[in-house]
Amino acid sequence: MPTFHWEDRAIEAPAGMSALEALLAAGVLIPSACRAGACQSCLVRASAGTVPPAAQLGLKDDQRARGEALACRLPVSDGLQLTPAGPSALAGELVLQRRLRPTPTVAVLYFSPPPGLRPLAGQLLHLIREDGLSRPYSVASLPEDEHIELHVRQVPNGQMSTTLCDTAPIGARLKARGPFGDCTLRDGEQDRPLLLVGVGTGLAPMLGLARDAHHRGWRAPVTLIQAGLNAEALYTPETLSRLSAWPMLRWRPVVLQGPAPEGGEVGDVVEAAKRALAETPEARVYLCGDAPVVNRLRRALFIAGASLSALHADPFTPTT
Amino acid sequence: MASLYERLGGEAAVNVAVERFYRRMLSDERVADYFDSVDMDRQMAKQRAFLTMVFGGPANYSGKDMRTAHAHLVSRGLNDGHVDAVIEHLGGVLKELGAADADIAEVAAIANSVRDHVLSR
Repeated sequence: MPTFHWEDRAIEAPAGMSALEALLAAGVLIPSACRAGACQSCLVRASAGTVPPAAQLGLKDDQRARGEALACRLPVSDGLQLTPAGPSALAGELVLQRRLRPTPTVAVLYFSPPPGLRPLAGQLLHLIREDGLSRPYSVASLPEDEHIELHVRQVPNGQMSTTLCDTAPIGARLKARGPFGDCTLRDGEQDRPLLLVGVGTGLAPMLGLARDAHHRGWRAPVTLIQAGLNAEALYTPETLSRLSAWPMLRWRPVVLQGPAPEGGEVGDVVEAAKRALAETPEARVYLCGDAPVVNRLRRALFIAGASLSALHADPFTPTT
Repeated sequence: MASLYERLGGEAAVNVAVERFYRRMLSDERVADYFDSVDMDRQMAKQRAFLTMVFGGPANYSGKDMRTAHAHLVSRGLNDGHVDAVIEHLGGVLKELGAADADIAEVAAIANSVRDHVLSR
C-alpha cells in the first residue's frame, strides 16, 4: 500500500485511491464539493511526488508551477508530499508606525513587519484584532520597503476600519495572517504591457504592482486607472506622486461624477478600461475594488478579448 | 482512428475553444443574461472537462448530468432558441479553429442528442 504525507503526517492508502478520499478517510478535513476536478475546492499543494496532468486540469500556469493540484484527481503514491494550498500560519505581529488621512474616508497606514514577513505587492494580509476580528487588506508596498503600506476605507460603523482609521494608536500591534493571493507580477514579462484598474482603495495593490514594475525595470507601458466617485475621493499617496514621473506609467484618473480630476475624465471606469485594453490588447490585466464593479470590469474585458488566464481580479466582498 | 478530441488538437485546443465560446456567449444578448451571477472560472473549468469527455478525450467529467445541471435554467425560461445559440457558437468557434465540417457536424449532433435532457423534456 502506498504511503504519502500530509504535512508531517504519514498516511497509508490503497493504490488507486484519490488523495481526497485518503485524507477524508484519515480524518483530515479538507474542503471538497464536486469530486470531479471541476470545482477546485479541494486544491492542495504537492511539494514532492508524482502529479499527473489530470490532477492539474483547469489550473492556471502559476498554480501548476507551484505544484498545486486537485486532491480528488490526484492518486496516492509513495513519496507524495502534500500541504494545504494556501499558507495559513500566523505571520506575526505588525506594528502601526504612521497613519495618513488623505481624504475623510481613507487612511494610508504604514506598519513595520515582523521578521520574515515580506509580502509581494498585490498580495493580501489578513489583519486580526485582539478580539479575533479579521479582515483582508492588499499590500501597496514592495518587499524591499521598510514598511508595509495598506490602504483602508472607513466604512460607516465598520468595526475593523474604525479601529484602523481612528482608534488604534501609533505603536499598536496587530496580528497578521498571510501573505495570500497571486495578484502579483509574473517573472520575465518586462516586455508585456500592464493594465491596472483600482477602484477606491482598490488602488493599493495596483499602486504596489506599478511600483513593482518600475522596480523590475518594466519596458512596456503600464496603464494605471484610478477610479472613484468624484475628484475629492481620489487620493494620491506619496508613493504614487513619486512614480508619476516614470515615463512608462500612464496614470488615468476616472470619476463617476464631475468635475473631471486634473489629467483625468468623468465617465464609467469600465469604458475607460476597455479603451485602455484596446491600446494594449496583449496586456496582463489586474483589477481591484468592490465586487460589483470588479465583476463588471472582468466580464467586459474578457468579452473585449482579454484571456481569463491574463485577467487577475481581487474583488472586495462586503463586511462591516 | 484518432478521437474527435485528438483531431481538434487536444487539451490546448479545448482550452482555446472554451474561452472563445464563452466570449461569444457573453456577447450574445439571447443568452448572456443567464451568466450574470455565474463564476466564469468555474463554469469554464467544468465546460473544459465536459467537452473533453464528449469529444472522446480523457474522461475527467463526473459533474452533474445535463438535466440536473440545467433544471434551474429551465425554470428561468431556457428554451430551444438558447440551445440553438449554444450549438451555433460552438460550431462557429470550431470553424474558426480550423475544424473539419464533418467534425463540427458531429459536435452539433452530440449537442442535439442532449437537447431534451437540457430542456427537461
